[in-house]
Amino acid sequence: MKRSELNFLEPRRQAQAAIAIFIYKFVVRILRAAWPILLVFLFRSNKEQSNTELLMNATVVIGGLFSLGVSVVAYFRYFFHLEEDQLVIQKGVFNRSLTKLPFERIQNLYIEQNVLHRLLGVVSLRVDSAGSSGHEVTIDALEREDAEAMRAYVLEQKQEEAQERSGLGPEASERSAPLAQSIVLRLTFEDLLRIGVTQNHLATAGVIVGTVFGFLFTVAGAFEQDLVKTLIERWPMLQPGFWGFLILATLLFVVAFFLTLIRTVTQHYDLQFFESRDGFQLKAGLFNRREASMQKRKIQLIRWTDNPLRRLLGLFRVSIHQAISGSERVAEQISIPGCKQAQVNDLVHSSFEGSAEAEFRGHCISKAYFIWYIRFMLLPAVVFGALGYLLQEPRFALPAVGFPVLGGLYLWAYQQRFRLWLSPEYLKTSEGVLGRTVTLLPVYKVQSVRIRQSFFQRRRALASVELYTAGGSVRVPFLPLDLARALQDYVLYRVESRREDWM
Amino acid sequence: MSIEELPSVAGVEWQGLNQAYLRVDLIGLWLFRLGVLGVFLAYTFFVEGFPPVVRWSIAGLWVFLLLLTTVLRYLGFRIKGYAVRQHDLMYRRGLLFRSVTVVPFTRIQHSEVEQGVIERQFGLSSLSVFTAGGSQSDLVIPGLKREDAERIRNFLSQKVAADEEE
Repeated sequence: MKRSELNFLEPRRQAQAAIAIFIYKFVVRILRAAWPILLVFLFRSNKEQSNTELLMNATVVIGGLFSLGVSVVAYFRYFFHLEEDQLVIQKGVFNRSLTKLPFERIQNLYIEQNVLHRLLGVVSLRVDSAGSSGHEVTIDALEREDAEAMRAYVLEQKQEEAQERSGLGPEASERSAPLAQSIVLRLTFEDLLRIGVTQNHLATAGVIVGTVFGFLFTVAGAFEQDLVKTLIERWPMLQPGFWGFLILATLLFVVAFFLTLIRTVTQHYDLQFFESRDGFQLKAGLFNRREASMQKRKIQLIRWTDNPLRRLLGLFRVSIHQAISGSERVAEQISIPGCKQAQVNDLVHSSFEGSAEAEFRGHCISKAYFIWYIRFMLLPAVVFGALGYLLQEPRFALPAVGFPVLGGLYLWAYQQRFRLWLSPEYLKTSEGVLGRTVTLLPVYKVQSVRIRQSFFQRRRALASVELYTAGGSVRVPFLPLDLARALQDYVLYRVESRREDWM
Repeated sequence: MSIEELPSVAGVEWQGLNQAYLRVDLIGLWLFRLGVLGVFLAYTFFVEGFPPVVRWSIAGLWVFLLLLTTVLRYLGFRIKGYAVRQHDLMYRRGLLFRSVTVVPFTRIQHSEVEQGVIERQFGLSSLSVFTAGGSQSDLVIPGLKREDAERIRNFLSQKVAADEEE
């Protein structure tokens, strides 16, 4: 495409339909945040408004009008254009920002259209830059031909750049024909039941309790009636007392158990995991069939986890992390429940070349970890102890003693079992008290290193190290400062001294 | 090459932030905290029968915490600093909880120069550096003179582009 044909070289606004889309987004946001208030507004029994209510409603209305104004102004202050080798976006109502996105950082451009876009006859252009969440670039409203022209132009520029760099013809890059795949793992219905049974049911129970209470309180709060209280009074099962509690707890557990089981089976139904020379592919799901694929060279880190029940069956959940852009695409991570140790090893070794031969040296974390965190366990103990003493209530002794004892045991076990394994090319951590989580990553995948030191750690010459990759991070708490610094220096040296395709 | 010969992060020379940034930081802090206090007080006066003891003790605690934060920010200001090394960008912060973050140039996706309302009054800018994946590994260096921020950003873009061509 000739550059002269493009009219994106000067800063320009989006199609005017963008105003409608901004307003639509704003309305959705309002509805999501304020639905209880609106519900009350519509279904209130007495039409008299108290002062507080009036204030609240006025706040909502003013806030709404204000944000509406902001959405409209935002349209007029949003400019984009293409420069020689980058996409430039200027925007912002209060805080102006200028984003420059070099073409070589752009992974792909997607033209998308939802119902509203279709009504207005425009499209949105999403630019995937493998950047951070919240900093992805989406141009909300463009004429379709403009979007297509822009997309074609950027991709063409990218390809030219790539060819100049590699000195290869265009056919070389497109030759990657699909290679033969071999199936690595397939889960039968029986496997799924086994995995479902060994899931963390307590977590599901927690989610159920949270959701039910959250819903009741929102609704009760909105109608200014003590709905929860009425509910409790009417249901004999909810009366305080040992039997009521037991029945409720059993019921909750049974519901949680079956919910996790059903979810596991539907989510991983007929899971098939393939491997080819360059990558992996996963297919699974009963209702929503997911298909995820991943290139081996894009894998950032691999993590495998067990829990006490899984340990009995020798099963692990393996998750393979690649560069994510934005939180909503976490689904692109591949996660496989029910792998045997041998399968885990095969997977790791075929993803990370040479990791099978790597010689690791283990390091422990400092006992000061226990000393620092036990303080936070003592705090609730003191509070419960004081309350028990003041109220003359001996039952408070249970949490007062339980917190530090159980918490202390946990901390102690965590500190004892934590290991950092280092080899020249790979880094591995192993952590966990009841279960164990192992994380393995090639050192050169690291994209930023952070050393943290609290005042407590500084006095003892200790430090915590955080290593971030494009697919997830690893945190090693309470290392000796010398080791932490040597690790940081080495990782940076390894990353900076060679140029490798890392993402 | 042994571990001792590696370029070390420990002995780096830190560039402090622009002195005016301390004021920007504190003005922002006070505006926000006093704003919250104002809303709280207005609310308690609006609701009939709100016990004055509770009102003033909460307000007092709030102001005390504000003063404490101010002192910590003031003392913490001299810790904040950045360093541009041959292959990476570093930022240090935190008085009680110190952190040093290093991002190699080769891992930078893009960078932005931003200016908040208060920063603009003092001619200051923030430089944000973004890496791939989650936002945890991103780096923000506040309190730079506009032209310094632009200069570092341009330097980073050149570095990134040069690396791509090698």
